[in-house]
Amino acid sequence: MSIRVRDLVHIYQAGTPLATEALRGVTLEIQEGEFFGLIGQTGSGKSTLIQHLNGLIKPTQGSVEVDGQNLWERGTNLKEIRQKVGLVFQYPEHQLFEETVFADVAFGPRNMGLPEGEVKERVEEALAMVGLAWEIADRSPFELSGGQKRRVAIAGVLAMRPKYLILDEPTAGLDPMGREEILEEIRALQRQGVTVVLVSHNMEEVARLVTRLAVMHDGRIIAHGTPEEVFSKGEVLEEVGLALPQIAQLMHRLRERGLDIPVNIYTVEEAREAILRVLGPKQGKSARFLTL
Amino acid sequence: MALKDIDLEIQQGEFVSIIGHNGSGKSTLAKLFNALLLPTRGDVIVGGKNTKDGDKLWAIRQQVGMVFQNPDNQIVATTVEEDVAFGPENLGLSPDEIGRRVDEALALVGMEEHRHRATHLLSGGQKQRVAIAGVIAMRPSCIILDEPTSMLDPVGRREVLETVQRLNRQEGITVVLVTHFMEEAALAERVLVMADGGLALSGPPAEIFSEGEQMRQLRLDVPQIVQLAWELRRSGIPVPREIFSINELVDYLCQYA
Amino acid sequence: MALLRDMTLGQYIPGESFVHRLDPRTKIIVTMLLIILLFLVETFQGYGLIALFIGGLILLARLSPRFVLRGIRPMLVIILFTLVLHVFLSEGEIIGQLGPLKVTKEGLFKGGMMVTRLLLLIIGASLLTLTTSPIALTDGIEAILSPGKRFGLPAHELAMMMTIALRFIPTLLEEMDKITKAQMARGADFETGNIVQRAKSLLPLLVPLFVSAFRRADELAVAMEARCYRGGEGRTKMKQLLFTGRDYAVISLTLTFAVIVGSLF
Repeated sequence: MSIRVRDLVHIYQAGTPLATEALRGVTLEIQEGEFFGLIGQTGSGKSTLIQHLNGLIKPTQGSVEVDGQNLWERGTNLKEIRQKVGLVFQYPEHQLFEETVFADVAFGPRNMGLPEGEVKERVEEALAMVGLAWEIADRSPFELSGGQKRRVAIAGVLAMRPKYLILDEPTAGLDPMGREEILEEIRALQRQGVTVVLVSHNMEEVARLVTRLAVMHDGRIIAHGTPEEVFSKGEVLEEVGLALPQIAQLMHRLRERGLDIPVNIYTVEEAREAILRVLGPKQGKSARFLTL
Repeated sequence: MALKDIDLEIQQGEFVSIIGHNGSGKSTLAKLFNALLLPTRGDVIVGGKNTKDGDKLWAIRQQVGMVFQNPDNQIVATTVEEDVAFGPENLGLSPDEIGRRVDEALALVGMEEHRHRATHLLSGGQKQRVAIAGVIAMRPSCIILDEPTSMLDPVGRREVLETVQRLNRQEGITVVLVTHFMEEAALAERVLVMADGGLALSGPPAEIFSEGEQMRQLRLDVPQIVQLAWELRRSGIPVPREIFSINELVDYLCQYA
Repeated sequence: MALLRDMTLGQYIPGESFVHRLDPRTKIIVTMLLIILLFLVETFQGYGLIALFIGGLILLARLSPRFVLRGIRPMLVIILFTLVLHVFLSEGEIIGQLGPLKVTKEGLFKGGMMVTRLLLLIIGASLLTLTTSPIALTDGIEAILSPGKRFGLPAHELAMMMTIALRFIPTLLEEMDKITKAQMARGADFETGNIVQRAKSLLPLLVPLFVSAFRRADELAVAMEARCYRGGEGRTKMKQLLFTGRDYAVISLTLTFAVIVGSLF
């Protein structure tokens, strides 16, 4: 089971002088259960790509399959696909519209035609998943704080119990604590078996969380693989204006300067250990000599 | 109460950053500097003029320009040059003078070649630079930037920060940068840390950001490099407190080895 | 969106032609004169001359006639409706019958007249917007209306509102597209159901759009104040409108043409 994209091309305003090619042949497979990262500059085609994954836009060429079902074949129910592939847009709080948090989160399940009892159950579950108290359900979404609004909006997608969850910059504009909380919840979801696709331009976030990632540039995927594989090609990323995660940059430069340091390291903790191993404080150094 | 008991002086030509988590009062403080808000108690004096003095209102706003968070919601006109001209037009300057100032301001932010472009087609970073040019064209002595990069991608952030630094160094314009990114705040000569409506800390970046535990308690974003520097210091490698960038840390560590 | 793309009326094609460089006030006055003329003239010979005049302007503006004509497409329904209405509903000499509907000679003539008039009107008006940037157009309207300030006409305010509207149309269109997609991702359906259901299905789209528009308005107002905006009083303009010999020549020529055609046909 997977989302499979083959030779996907998308041209906006095709056939007019304003035609722009947003995707120039993208092939990609996202496996069930993965934590997948998608990175790239603004305008690299990330947004266009993810809107193809739940059939919001139609490919100009190429195909998109979800669990083996081609989205644009006759007989495909796009509404079902959109329930299966949940998409959380950037600044999702901008879509809130109902009078109460409950009604807003219930919008998706009600569109699915579920009985009220089940709707309520799902709203409860979704709010809990994003760490919001049930008491909030009767309040107006418009009077909540920025971070809370964002969670309500994410809950609105979770309430459809998607199998695949795509999040476009879910932490944009939040402060560090808000960011950490949201990421923690996303990680928890993934552990519970939801396949997560995280679109981000925060390399540190991506390096820390995902199991596999793809880098987009100018409508193409220019690198993909595990974080180790992708970040080992630092030059490729820098050429397209993306920076390696800070720690990875540091490790690369230290190695260039002749220190014997592994480069596939992204967290502060690992970096500290690696550096201490090589040039630790005096006692560390003597320990090293002893082992030699 | 959004703010309480703040005493503060910013000198002409200084680069000050104000950092704090959401709701710490940093944006409220910024809006007090050019009389978009008036203090409930206490005074804000800009170049000798009290912001409560209604007659001086426009003189103060000309002197203290402001750039906001959302690039889309501060651009008034449909083309770049028309938008930059908006401020000077409000000042009632002659058409020739407005033209001169628009040229000059666009050159300062590096947007000359885009002067006839439609504003809605620009990237986020370009929009913010147009907004900065719009403020510069009024020849302010100080610019307040209220989280100007929080909605931008890394490229846009870099564009804006480089522009701001250039204006401060080359043109001697006082800069007050409100942000929640520590690496941005570290560009300033002086950092003010806000928490719960008050001024929690104030001092040069090296002094402020070496207080690792405190930064975390104040819910501030600590760049990985700074975190690593703390950790190494704790583990016995005496990394100097002024080190905030990757290059500096690489140089130091290679020397140490 | 497709409809908006076809709308030549309201679009601006940048250029450096003779027509492009005319003062916007001149172009507004010429367009007004042509519109008045179109309602005075009631013969096909007259329309022929006006068509020639407009054709000349299109050539002078170096616009592709095919592009200008494409602007008629979104208006086609209205034009056909006008034609049908006139052809079937006029009294007179019957020349054909279609069930209960009679086609009269007078109807055919009147219908043809109205359609020609409409076509010329649309082409003339789109010529103005195709060759004048929205800003120049707003400046022109403000200048033409400004004598009315003495009688309480808010000329500056109207122009400022037009500018801001023009500035935010693309932003809000983009936003609407995004909200539509976001709600569709939550299973919203904007296409099926009866009128009441469809109107109701627009709520998830319109509420966020209004909320956002008001938030933008609020922030924009603060940003404008921070840039010393305090209404039209004491405000100057970077671009001064300037009548040159060319403008006087074009206006007098159009006026002469209008008087001659208007009195002869």
